[in-house]
Amino acid sequence: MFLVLLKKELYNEFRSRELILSMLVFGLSIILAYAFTSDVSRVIVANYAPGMFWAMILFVTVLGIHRSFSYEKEMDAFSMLIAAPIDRGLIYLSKWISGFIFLTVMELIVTIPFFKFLLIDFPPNPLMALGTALFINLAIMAVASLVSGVAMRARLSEVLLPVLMFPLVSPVIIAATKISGGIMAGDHYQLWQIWLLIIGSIIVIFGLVGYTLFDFITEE
Amino acid sequence: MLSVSHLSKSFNRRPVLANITFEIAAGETVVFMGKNGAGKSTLLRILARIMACDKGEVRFQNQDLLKGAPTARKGLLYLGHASGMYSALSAVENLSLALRLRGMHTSKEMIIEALTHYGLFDQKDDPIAIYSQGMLQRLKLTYAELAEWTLLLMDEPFSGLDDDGAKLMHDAILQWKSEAQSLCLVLHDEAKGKLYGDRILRIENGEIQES
Repeated sequence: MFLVLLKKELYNEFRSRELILSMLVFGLSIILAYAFTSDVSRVIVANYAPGMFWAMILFVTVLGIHRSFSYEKEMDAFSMLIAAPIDRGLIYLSKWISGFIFLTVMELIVTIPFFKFLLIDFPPNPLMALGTALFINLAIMAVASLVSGVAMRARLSEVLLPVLMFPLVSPVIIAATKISGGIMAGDHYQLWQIWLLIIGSIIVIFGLVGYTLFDFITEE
Repeated sequence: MLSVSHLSKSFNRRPVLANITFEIAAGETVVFMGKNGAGKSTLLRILARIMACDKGEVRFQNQDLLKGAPTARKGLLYLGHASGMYSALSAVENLSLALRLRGMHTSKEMIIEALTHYGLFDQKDDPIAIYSQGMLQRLKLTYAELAEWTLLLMDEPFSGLDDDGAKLMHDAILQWKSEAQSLCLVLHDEAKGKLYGDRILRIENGEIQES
C-alpha cells in the first residue's frame, strides 16, 4: 500500500509539475539574490556558503511541503485518502519519502548554479557531500511532513506551517550547516560526526512520531 | 450493522451533535434531514473517521470503528460534498487509485465501462480539474458503483446533477436498495427522503428525532 501512495504522490507531481517547479524557481531566485548582493571576498562567502545553502533549502522546503498538502485539500481528496481502510501512518511515510525525492531533485539542479554564481569551489569530497545531503534531506522532510500534517487541518495553515516548522527544523539546519562546513573545509569526519548523529536521531524520532501520530492528527 | 451510541461533537464549545444514538440494520436505508448547519455532514464525516468526535462509540459490523484497526472501515464508503479526488489526475486514474486504496484491483476496462455508463467516456482521460459539479457527482457515482461496500454514506447525492444525472443517481439508489445494500443518505428534499428512506432521522438542536 505504501508503494501505491508513493506512486500517487509522484504521479500527481508528474502531472501538475507545480511542486518542483515552484521550489526550483524560488531556490534559483534566492541564489541570484545571494550572488548579486554578497560583495565580499570568496573566502568569506565560502565560510557562509553552507549556512546560506541550507537556509535556502529551508525556505524552499516550506514552499514545497505546503503545496504537497494543499493539493490534498483541493476537492477534499484527503478525506478519501484517510477514509480508506489503510494504515494512515503510511500516508505520512509516502509524504515523507516523496518530499525527500522532490527536495533531492531540486537540490541536484540548484547545486551547480549555487557554486558557480557564488564563485566558490566544489567540495573536495563530492560523494561525501552528496551522501550527507541525502541524510539531511531525510531529516528535513521527516519534520516538515509531520508539521504539515498538523497544520493542514488548521484554518490558518499557511501561517501555522512556517511558525511550527522553523523552530522544529532549526536543529537540522544548524547540524546541516556544521556538516557541510566541515566537508567544504576538508575536515576529518570525526570533527563533525556528532552533528550527523543528531540528524540521525531526528530522523528516528520524527519518523516514529509521525508514523504513530498521523492516524490522529489527520482527523478534523 | 452500524450502532452509534452517545455521540457528541462541539465546534468552539458550541455543541453540534449531542448524545446521538441510533442504529442502522443490514439492508436498511436511513435518510438524515435537517436545517443547514444541523450537523448532518458532521455526523457522516465522524462515521467515516474523517472527523474526530468528542465522545461516543461507533460500532460497525461488530467492530469499534473509532478505535479499531483501519480494516474496520473496509465495508464503509463515504462520498461527501466534494469529489474527494485529485484534480490533476484523470477520472480513470482517480478511480484506479481510489479502488486500489480499498484493496481492489479493478481493470481499466471495467473502469472505462462504468464511466461510459455514467456518461463520462469522452472526458475519461481529462484531468478532473476541468469537470463541472455534475460531472464530479457522476464520477462519485461511478466510484460507488465500482467499489465494494456494505454501508454507503452519501452527503447530498443529488446536488449539482442535471436531469439525466439525477435519473442515474435515482436508478443507482433504487438498485442498491433492491440488492439489500445499506445506505445512509443526507438529503434536503422531503419527497426524496420519503422515497428512498426506510427511516428518516431529523437532526434538530444536535439531537436525533425519528419521523
